Amino acid sequence: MDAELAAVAGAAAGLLVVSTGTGLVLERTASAGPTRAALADMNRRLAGWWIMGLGFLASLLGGAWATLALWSLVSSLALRELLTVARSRPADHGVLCWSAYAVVPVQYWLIAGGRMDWAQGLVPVWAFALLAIRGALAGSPAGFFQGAAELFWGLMVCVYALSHVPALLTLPGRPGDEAAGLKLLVFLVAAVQAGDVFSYVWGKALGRRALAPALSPGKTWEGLLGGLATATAVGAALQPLTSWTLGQASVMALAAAALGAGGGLVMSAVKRDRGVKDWGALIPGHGGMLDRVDSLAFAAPAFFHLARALGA
Amino acid sequence: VNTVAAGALAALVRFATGVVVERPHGPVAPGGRVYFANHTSHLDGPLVWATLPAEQRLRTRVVGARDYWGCGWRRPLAARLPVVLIDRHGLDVTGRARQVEVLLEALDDDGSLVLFPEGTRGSEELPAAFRTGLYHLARRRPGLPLVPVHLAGCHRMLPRGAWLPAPVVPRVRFGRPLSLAPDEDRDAFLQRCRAAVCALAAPPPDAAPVPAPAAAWRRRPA
Repeated sequence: MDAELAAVAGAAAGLLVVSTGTGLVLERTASAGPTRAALADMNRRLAGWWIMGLGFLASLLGGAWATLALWSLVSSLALRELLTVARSRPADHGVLCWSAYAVVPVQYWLIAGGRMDWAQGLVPVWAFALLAIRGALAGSPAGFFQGAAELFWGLMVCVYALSHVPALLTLPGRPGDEAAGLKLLVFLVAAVQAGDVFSYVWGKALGRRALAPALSPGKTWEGLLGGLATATAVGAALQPLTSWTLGQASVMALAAAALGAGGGLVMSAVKRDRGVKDWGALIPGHGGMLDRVDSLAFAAPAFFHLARALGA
Repeated sequence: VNTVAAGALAALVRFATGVVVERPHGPVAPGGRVYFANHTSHLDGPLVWATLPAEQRLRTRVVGARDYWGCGWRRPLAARLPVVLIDRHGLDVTGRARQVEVLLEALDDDGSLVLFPEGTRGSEELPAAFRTGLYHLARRRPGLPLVPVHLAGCHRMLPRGAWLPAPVVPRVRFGRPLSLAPDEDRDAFLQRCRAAVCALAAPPPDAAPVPAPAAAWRRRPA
């Protein structure tokens, strides 16, 4: 593995080891009550981070193909969770199957071949048109608009947006750096997840003013600002992974984390609207796959566009 | 079906479907019982069977119709699976009694059954009227616990006539066991059983706590 990536992976593993150890000791010593329950919750989340961290590390070690395999699996699982909550007509069974068995594989096949112009058109141009036509021809029109709209939303978030994470591997990157794309991917995921995790941590420590009580009672302005500041600092620290200046790297991390927070809020609004608390129960302490990657819904495509514009 | 193959098959069913299992009334006690559920899909039987605790699952068989599962390409498949086949059409009184005997035999030695009392696959979230087999089993085995089960999402995933499962996560919710009351008549009992399945279709009161946006934000204490 590339030395810079290995350093980042080592730092992340160290952080995880230290927080897991601290969490377990604190839970042992805490007296029963709300504090202990909060610590137990945090330790469940950390167990989930171990699973995700090891999966992510394995994909980095495996290179481009393993990364594409991991993210196509993430896309498929997230799409399944979203479509479970979305409404559809009985006649939409075929359209749902086409999105899972055709749109997802073709999207990742296009990215694997480096055909980004086609990959960026597949969902908004082709799936948008063809699945809507297929749906309109099947069954009764009652509920068609709702079903088509919610399906398109699911494809945009779970296929279009999430596939922009491995799409970073197609960017040319620094001349002569084989791992440039993987480094950008690590930069994006680290910035977004740092914003997410540290807005939770800062919110627990300092949170006073609720950000959106109707959507997410736990989120606060103090947490958001703390999370964005931490993500910006993480971006600055990870500047050596990129071909950008310190300022550019910090602004890219800030933009990714801000859109990440926005994605989390919007996906919470979808959950509230449909009356569910979590997207699933796949990852211990985190809920479903979509609960963990919802912050990439807007951040990943935006980061890809900005990185391409900056000449990553 | 041997133990390892059964465990692997159950794990495969659970993993491939991502099924969500809910037991609001706690874990299943050991012993024979009849699980009865709404029926909308071929996935229903495999899902209830695969989500039972392992030791329970090895003694549990799914009840199927011989005129469907005992014919054509389905027959060799059903022969390899933990299934009890019964006849459902063109039976006289003794013929029907014989089907009950087949099921009672399967309940011997702490065996359990998964039964779909509608007798066929429907397309609604709530089951159609129940047929009488469940009542006859309850009458012949008075203490036998009958466990209502509600399956959601199976119809969206694999409706009648479909051959590809749609990307939807099904949910299996187990209810509180009930049994036949001493003086309960057939129709009242069957209605009570159906109502128990319907009650499980509604989300439990604590499923989605939507917070009241009362305090928009807390002020810093002065």
